[in-house]
Amino acid sequence: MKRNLLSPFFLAVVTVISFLSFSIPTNAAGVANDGARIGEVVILGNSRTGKEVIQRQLPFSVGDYWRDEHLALTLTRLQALNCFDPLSLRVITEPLPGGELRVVVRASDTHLLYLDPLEFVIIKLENLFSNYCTQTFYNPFGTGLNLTVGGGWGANPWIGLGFNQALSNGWFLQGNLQWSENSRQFYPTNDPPSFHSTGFSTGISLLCYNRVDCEYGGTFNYSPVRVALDGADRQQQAYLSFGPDFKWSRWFEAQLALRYALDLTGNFPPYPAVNAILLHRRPIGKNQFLTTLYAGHMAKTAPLNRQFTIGGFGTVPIRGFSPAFTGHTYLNASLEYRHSLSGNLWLLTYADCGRTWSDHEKTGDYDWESGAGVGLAIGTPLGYPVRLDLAHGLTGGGLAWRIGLDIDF
Amino acid sequence: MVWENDGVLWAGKAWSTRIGDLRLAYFTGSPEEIGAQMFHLVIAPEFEKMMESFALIKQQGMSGGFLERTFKNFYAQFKFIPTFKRHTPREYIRELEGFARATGDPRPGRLVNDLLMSNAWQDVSLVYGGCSFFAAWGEATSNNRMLVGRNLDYSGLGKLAELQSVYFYEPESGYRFVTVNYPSMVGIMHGMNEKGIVIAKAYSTVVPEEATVDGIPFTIMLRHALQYGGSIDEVINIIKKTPRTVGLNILVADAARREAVVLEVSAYRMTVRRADRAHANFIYGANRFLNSYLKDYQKPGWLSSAFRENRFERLMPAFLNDLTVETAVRILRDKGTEDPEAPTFLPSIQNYATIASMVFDPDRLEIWVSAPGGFLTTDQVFIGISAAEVWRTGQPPSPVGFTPATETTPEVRAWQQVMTAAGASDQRKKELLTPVVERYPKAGYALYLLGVACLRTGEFQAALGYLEQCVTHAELPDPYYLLAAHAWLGVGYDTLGLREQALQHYEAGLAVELLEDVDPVFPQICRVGLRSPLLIDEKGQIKQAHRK
Repeated sequence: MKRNLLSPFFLAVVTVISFLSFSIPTNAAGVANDGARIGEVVILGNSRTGKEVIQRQLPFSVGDYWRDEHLALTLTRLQALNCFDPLSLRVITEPLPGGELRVVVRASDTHLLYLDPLEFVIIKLENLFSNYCTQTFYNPFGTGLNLTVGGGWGANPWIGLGFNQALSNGWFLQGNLQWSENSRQFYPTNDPPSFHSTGFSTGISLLCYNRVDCEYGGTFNYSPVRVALDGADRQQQAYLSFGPDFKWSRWFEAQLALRYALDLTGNFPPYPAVNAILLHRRPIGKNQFLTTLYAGHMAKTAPLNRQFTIGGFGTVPIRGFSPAFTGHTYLNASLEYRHSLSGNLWLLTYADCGRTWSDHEKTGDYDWESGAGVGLAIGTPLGYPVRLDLAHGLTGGGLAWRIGLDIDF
Repeated sequence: MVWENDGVLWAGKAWSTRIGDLRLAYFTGSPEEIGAQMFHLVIAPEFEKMMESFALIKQQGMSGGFLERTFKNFYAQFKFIPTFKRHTPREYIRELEGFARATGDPRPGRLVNDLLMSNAWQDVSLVYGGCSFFAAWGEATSNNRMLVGRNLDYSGLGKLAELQSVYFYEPESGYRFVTVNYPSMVGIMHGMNEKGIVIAKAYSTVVPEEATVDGIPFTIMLRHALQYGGSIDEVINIIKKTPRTVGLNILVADAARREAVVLEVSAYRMTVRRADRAHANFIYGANRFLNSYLKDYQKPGWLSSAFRENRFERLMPAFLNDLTVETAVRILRDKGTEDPEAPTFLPSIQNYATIASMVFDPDRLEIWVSAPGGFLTTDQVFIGISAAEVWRTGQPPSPVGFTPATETTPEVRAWQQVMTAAGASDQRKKELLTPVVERYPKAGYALYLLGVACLRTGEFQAALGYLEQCVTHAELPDPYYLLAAHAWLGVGYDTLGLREQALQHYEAGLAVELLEDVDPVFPQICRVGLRSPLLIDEKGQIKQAHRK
């Protein structure tokens, strides 16, 4: 990779912009009937889901007093159920004689196999190009339980099962079981750090949408695998990791995940880890400017196959590179400008800058890397766009492209 | 087994027959039996004609270019049909299955899907549907009884109108009901049940956020409400608890309770409009919301609702205390003016899109239906039929009476000519309208139509003459046409290079005080015309001059 002396400066600028652009918004337009008594709750559209599954997630009931925040919290919880057509979700308050309110909750069940047929086709094609396929069975029993199966092929085959069960009062239980064979190589490409692992990963997590601007939960993960690091002999590894997750979103969105991982075989050391994301969206007329900071740190003793991976179009992006930077610590910043060309067409430009720090002997050349690119997002009848990206690594990497669907494109 | 006896086709206890051109049918039994009866008694005897109408309905839902149709077909198969099936009560799907099996089609499942879409085409693709209705009761009517009048307006569906039939249902569950309907329809747009409940709908277009296809096709919702609603409250409750799709005004009249209300609904919202105190026994509706709560979600469009509402307001006092079926029919035949000496020849409660008219007498359980002649049906004979007799005897009924066709005075003939012209080609418009405007030089709407037809066919001087006459000397009670005439005049003068006159008309167009929010086309033409010259091309389309 080319040295990029401007990158730390770029990161500093992003950080400053990110923090200076925080502004406390005026109160969002609320429901005009804030404080009125709820006289009736009508639940519509649930042809498969039991009414009680929805009722359990409502933050209000008949006789309560309506509050503005009920609206967004109800929608958040219904979306989290992942049982309903997202475009049909509505929570409406209507005046009733006598000053009371009727709350109409509209949540239409989806097809068993897809939320939308066009989305299904696009996502399955995208899956197939990426050598994997997953399928969710949306709420087959009407109890708020979604089941997912999936598998991948090629160099890193895997097979997995998952579930998402709605509980009550904003609580959700998620779990997964996956077997995988995983061969990974990281930068630098001429003499890459690498590992090969085979085994299971199981996880279970609880998540609560307690308030409209606050989510929290916790995760347990157990991953018994046989792993060979940098071509060495295979060793047993069985990390049990656990820790809490928080998400807060008001003037900006903040996510924090804390983990403690413990190898039950005793072959590898325990380590703590922390991950954080800070995102700010700044509307500029119809356009939007996004600033995101990503950071993570874990003990240097964590084995290579448990360390952070960043880059590419991944969750911590450096677009124009492969998702192949590894390390025990990372810091990353992204800027993205979304220019609205028309009602359902956006022109996107973005730049990423980030790096990892690693004690691995082969990663001594790691430095700040940056990439930039342009994209086009086109609205679909699904309510969110298809996004096409073309990125170039400014400090190396190369040209990279991606097509995909994302609600938050 | 189907057999014929004395002009009546029988299938078990079900039958079909005719009174004049009006088809009648009686269906009874399980949903599958009712579906099969509709095929054997209504479709099979006139198979080719009926299949044409079925294709016409399908075509309405699947209109557009190749890409649009391909997209709609894909979505119909994988989104709309599964969605509609999930929401629709099972008994109506069973009825479609009975129909499909009776056809002998080797792929009945596919036919069920097609039939379901034909019941939902109005939810997928709204067409021009005017529709007006009113209900009067108590002191407003003769003998204190309740009467409901209703015009069904669908532009471009004249062929379908010829197949209009009166169907009497005696279902396995729910109430018996009667409706005026079209072949293959399980859902309804109006009807009356044995409890004296009358339902009629009119579109009321809403902003896109207030409509969805993720619900029950509204015709099936109305069928369910009529079949299971024994009172206003029960009907309200059914509609309230139905996942709806589009914006509607739904008249619900209850003879036993002596009350009628209009449910103003979007896919997500609903409010109940009751008769106001000024005329407590009379309520009407057209194609817009009148309740302030729902008005915020109305999509501006022009269906001449305010004008038709004004007509109801003006007509009712004339008939107050003496409303009979005959006078109710006269209201439905309204042509925009009470003064035969000063005809305006405007589309009104009756208009160029009216394809069915009916009066319900829920006290006597009678239905009075106009003869199925396509457009201008309201001026034809109304046939009175006792649903009570059909339900009591299970036999084909004799008419309880006739309301004679409108007397064809020269003014009526001229009005009909103007309405026929409204849906005709430019050339035909000229043929039909020239004699009308020669005889009635103040007939503003006819002048407007003729002027536009001349403009679109390149006869600019004649066009400007008619349109100038329209805006300066003619009667135009609905100012929307004044706006439209000024806009066309502006384009006409611009096309001839007379910019000064064009600007005057664009300004005059924007200054017109309208009765309601209208679609933005004509105001937009005026606004754009003020900024830069417009012209009309050889295809009759308006363009900006500098883009020539």
